[in-house]
Amino acid sequence: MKCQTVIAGIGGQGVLFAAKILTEIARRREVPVLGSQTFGMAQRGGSVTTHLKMGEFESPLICEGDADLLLALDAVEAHRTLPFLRARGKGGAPACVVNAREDAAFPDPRVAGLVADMGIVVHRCNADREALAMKLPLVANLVLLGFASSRPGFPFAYAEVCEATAALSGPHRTTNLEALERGRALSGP
Amino acid sequence: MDTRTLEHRVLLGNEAISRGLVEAGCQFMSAYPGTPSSEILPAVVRYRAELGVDFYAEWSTNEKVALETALAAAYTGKRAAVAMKQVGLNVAADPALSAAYIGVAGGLLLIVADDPGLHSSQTEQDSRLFALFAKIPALDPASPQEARDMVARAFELSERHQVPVLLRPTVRVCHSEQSIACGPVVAPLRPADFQKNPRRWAATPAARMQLHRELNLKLAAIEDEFAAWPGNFAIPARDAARPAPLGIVAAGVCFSHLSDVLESVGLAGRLPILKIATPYPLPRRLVADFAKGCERLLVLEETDVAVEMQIRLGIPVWGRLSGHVPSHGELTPAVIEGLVAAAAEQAGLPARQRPPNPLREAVAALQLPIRRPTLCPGCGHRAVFYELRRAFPDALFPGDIGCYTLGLNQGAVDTVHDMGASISMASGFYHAYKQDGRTPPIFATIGDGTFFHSGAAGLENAVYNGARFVLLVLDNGTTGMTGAQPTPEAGATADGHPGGIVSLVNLIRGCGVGYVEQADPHDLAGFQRILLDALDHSRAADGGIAVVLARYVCVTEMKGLAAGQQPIPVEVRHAPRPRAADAAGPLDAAWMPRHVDRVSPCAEACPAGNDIERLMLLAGAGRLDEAAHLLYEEHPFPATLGRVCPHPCETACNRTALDGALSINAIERAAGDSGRSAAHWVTPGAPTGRRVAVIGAGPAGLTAAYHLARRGHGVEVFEALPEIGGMLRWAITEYRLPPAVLGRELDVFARLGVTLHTGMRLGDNLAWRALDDFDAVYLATGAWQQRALGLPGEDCGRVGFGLDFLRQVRSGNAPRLGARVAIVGGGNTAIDAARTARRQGAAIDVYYDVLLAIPEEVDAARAEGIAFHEAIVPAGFEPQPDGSVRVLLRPLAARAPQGATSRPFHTESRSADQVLVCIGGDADLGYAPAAGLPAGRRIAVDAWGRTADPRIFAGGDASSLGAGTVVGAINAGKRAALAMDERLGGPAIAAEAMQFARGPGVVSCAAAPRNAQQKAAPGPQEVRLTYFRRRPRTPSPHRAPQESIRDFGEVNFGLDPAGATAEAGERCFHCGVCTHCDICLDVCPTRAISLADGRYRIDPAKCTGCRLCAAECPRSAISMPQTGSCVACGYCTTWFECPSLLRAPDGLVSIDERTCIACGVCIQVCPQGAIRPRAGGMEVRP
Repeated sequence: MKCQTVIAGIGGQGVLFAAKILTEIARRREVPVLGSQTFGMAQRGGSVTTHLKMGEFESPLICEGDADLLLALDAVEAHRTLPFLRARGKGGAPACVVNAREDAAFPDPRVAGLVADMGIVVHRCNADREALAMKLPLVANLVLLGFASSRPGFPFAYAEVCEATAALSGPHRTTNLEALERGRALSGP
Repeated sequence: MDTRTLEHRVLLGNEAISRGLVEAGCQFMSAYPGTPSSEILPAVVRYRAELGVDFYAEWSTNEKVALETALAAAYTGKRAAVAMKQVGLNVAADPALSAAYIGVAGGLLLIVADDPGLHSSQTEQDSRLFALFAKIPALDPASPQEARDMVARAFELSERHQVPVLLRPTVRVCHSEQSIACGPVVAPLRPADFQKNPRRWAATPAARMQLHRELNLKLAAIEDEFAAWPGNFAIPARDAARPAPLGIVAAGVCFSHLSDVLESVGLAGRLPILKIATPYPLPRRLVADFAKGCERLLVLEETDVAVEMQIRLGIPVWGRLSGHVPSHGELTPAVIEGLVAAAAEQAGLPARQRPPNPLREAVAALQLPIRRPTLCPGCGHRAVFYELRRAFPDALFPGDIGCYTLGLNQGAVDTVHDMGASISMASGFYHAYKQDGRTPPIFATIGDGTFFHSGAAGLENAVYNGARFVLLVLDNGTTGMTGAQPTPEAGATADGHPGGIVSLVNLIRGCGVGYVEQADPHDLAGFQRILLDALDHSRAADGGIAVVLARYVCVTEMKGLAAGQQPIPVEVRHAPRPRAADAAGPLDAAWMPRHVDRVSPCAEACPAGNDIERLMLLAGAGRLDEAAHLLYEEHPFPATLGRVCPHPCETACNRTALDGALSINAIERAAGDSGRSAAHWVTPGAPTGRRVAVIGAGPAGLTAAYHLARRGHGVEVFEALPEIGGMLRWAITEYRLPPAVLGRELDVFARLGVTLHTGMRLGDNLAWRALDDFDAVYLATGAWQQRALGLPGEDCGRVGFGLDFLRQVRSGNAPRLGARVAIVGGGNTAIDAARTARRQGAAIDVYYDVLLAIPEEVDAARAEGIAFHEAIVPAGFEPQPDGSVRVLLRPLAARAPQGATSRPFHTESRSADQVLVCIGGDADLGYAPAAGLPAGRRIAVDAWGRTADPRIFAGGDASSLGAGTVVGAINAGKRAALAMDERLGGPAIAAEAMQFARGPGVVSCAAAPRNAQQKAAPGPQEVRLTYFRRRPRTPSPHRAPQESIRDFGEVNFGLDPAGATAEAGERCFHCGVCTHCDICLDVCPTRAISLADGRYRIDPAKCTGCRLCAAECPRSAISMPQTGSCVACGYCTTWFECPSLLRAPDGLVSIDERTCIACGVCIQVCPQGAIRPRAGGMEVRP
């Protein structure tokens, strides 16, 4: 199995924790994993991107046009990182899962045609609303993961996500699992 | 090692290195944090606990110190490591070079993380080149796993050759995650056992030459060993065309990137590859063997040419030196993919170029907002930079390295160089400008961590060499940018071993700085005050470098506000834009800023109608003569009022809120004393043929006569007493108002042609009928009829009136009162009587219910030894056989007990030789019936002194207008003169235009230049106190009390002209009046205000309506209503620049609930008042 995932968001949104969960899944599957994080001056509020490569790879970085999956916690950052996604090909359809308000234009009409032509499947949900409803703005990342892993074709199963999250959550286990569940519920039955 | 038996964990590259260190038996590590190396030491501490190893770990104060500390551990035979980022190695350069020569006993690993692509660094320097320069063997891992595996081998190499070894990961190794095989501790720990050997450990130059020779031999041996290093290996091409047209030498992480991209360009298996893990010394034999099968080589390495420059072969070598590889920037997989494909094509190998990515162009066309690095929401640094930029837009801002480098975004960081440079550069800037005679404000900023790292040396130097600037040490208690490592002040060490605490304040003081202030920048206005004071100190003759320690917590470390800090959730109020035709267009003119002068509170308070603000302008410029002229326009008594006025102007002075009211009274006096007298400035008006009789030559009557004569009316003054002046002449004592001063002011009446009749009392030797010929009569006969107490024994002969006593003294017939005098009353007459009696040598007691006298007079009386008894009043008087009187006293509030007694109720008694009653007087209106006026205590008049009889006017103590004070009488006299002038054919009274806002004073002439200022005076809340330097009120010198009671010489010397000029010039705020200080020009964020022809103009096309000019005008001379709602000006997002303030495409701002931590500082930022504490619920935009 080879899978290249880009996770994008804003500093403070929990991009790194989302990456950690997927990494933990890979570890449990005993699949080699390589990842690369954006570190730097922007601790909050700046663009943050993480690359995650599962399978036989040497480099921790993903080239533009190679990613199978884009998980975005913010619509602007999703647009910014869209070029990482590949076109539909022998690996199946690439997917873009994005946290966006219902009234936000995603993908932007100026790129929507291209996204469709490339066979990129877009899944969107308003994870922020769920997180704010829980009065925990920081769990939007988990809502998004719960949602994504309940969609057909997502490379990580919801149950796997729950197990990995539980293992990494420490005292926040219950609320984190609730956030995943809210995301799953958004995905429909 | 069989890795299959090991546990696999997903680790960050830095953690993999840490794991390797602990497993390899390393026991000692020092480090200075710096991206991308910072995670190594904390991970070591974690593994130490997990593996139960005795391991010492410290955050050193800088990289030089860290390396020296670790070197000593290695001298003892232990395995030691030191970690830093690449620029840190520059700091440690000195010990690093010697370390190569002298070497080590136990293994020493120098871990230096490079940052190709400058993700968080100042230079793209290649530490492998530093190793080459320093002659230290260098290792270049391609992945976290290789980095971990290298550690044990590197220690072994270091120990065998007794040299330190450099492990150089790049950011893509440090910050990559990989499944890592982890194992147990495999190398034994060693006891510290330093073997003395001065020829080595303390080598002199001669011995060093020998060490250098030995080092060269070691390096040669290591190069041989490196040929068999497991990380150096060749991968042959699958198609065996020999020689291959192109071979690739790939070092470090470039090898990993290369491996992943070859397939996409169709070159997988078609190129021989030599992986290099040991760039220095390069195993040249290995490279030469590889090159034998190639026609040319392409070298891929980061960050510079360490490998490429060591290759000396007979075939072409492509790389940075040949231009085939970019000489700056990171070699990402995408870059490598492109350049390898291009090189292969050039070498004759067809390659497949990746087609252009259509999404890339399409997304670029979206012009997405750039999220530049920014300080966290709630960060205290933001408040510091906001305030610096706002208060000192023209200052120089040398900055430093840390989170606070981001002060750049707020315009408050001008230079960023290397750690500690802010201080040295501030010093350099100061001396460079000083050389030209200029001293721009300089504010250097440095964090607490960086100050401990390398600030002290620069500060010592700056103090030693006499530089002057303000240094702000931004103390958030942590090393924030690199992930919140403790500072030496935190009292916490890297691994929890006991440590000491270094006080930042003591360290700064130890550098020779005497001025260290601590401040919380979250109170923006208070912080500005502290900055101004610091700037003052840095510029004062006896000042020096000023250090402000701005203290707050790191909100990211604390995961929120400081403990105990109350969260203030905020909202942005949105409302339709006021009176604007277009929601996005400029504001309606009524909501734009306008420079409109207002009345100063002092002028508003002055009953005499003095334009005090303008008086201060003239006096402050040293133009006391013109200041006197200004005063003479309003009344003839500046020197007198400057001595006796209760100065309501000073009570109203806004400066009270800062450091004491302006000495307006003393300045008026100085103008009256040193300017030319009224006789010079004032002339009688053209004769009108009308005649006015003024009855009573006190301040009210004389002021009326003064203004009437200047308007051309024939004025005759009738005075009952032998000389004119009224209370000024007969009641106010000489030591307050010397006769010569009064006399000089009274001279003007002769000059004005006013006829003065003395010794003529109305109803006595002046019949009312005699006034029939006058067109108007002004009654200003005063209140000379003294009020008695009405107490038993008051008629004993020892109880008199204070006013009578004062008049007798001024007439030269002073009665001797005896040794003990009791004064009854708390007004100015009581104090005058007390102090006069004191000058006869008497002991004085003053009994009063309320103290109404001028406070300075009371203070002077106390200083002269006069006793005051508050709320103690007399109950009766009992004459004594010795001729004295016993004063029976009771507390004001005490009630008599039930039952009649023969003596009045009292609680105590005192004996006195004389009692003087000073509880006020009434007008003697015996002439009222003849004049047809109603009988009563005072003549009833309107605000302009008019009685029911249109020909008769009245004022001063005799009337209901202007009684009680000299300045009140002057007010009444002027008002009546204007009203009489109106009746006699002069201009009509335009009350609106003559009054100072809502105050009592009127100007004598409606055409006076300031008479249109009808807007109310700004109060202390409307003055920006922070713009004014503290400068205590100048006290007027006084005679010593023990000396002053000997005679009637003047007690208060007032201010000399220089003192008055300084007081007016340096202390007056000029409240409400534009002084062209240009602060509005400076603060306007869009430069919408310009100065043309001496007037400020506002460009409506540039003005965003932010209202900062009005909010910042130090004296409230810009008028602009506050909307209380967002006007889409962008001020907060540009200059406060909090990422939690989101600006929509329409310019309106809202709060990002996801990131806001409710610090509440932005409330203080919005000049329109649109950001406010949230009332409850979520913010709603229209």
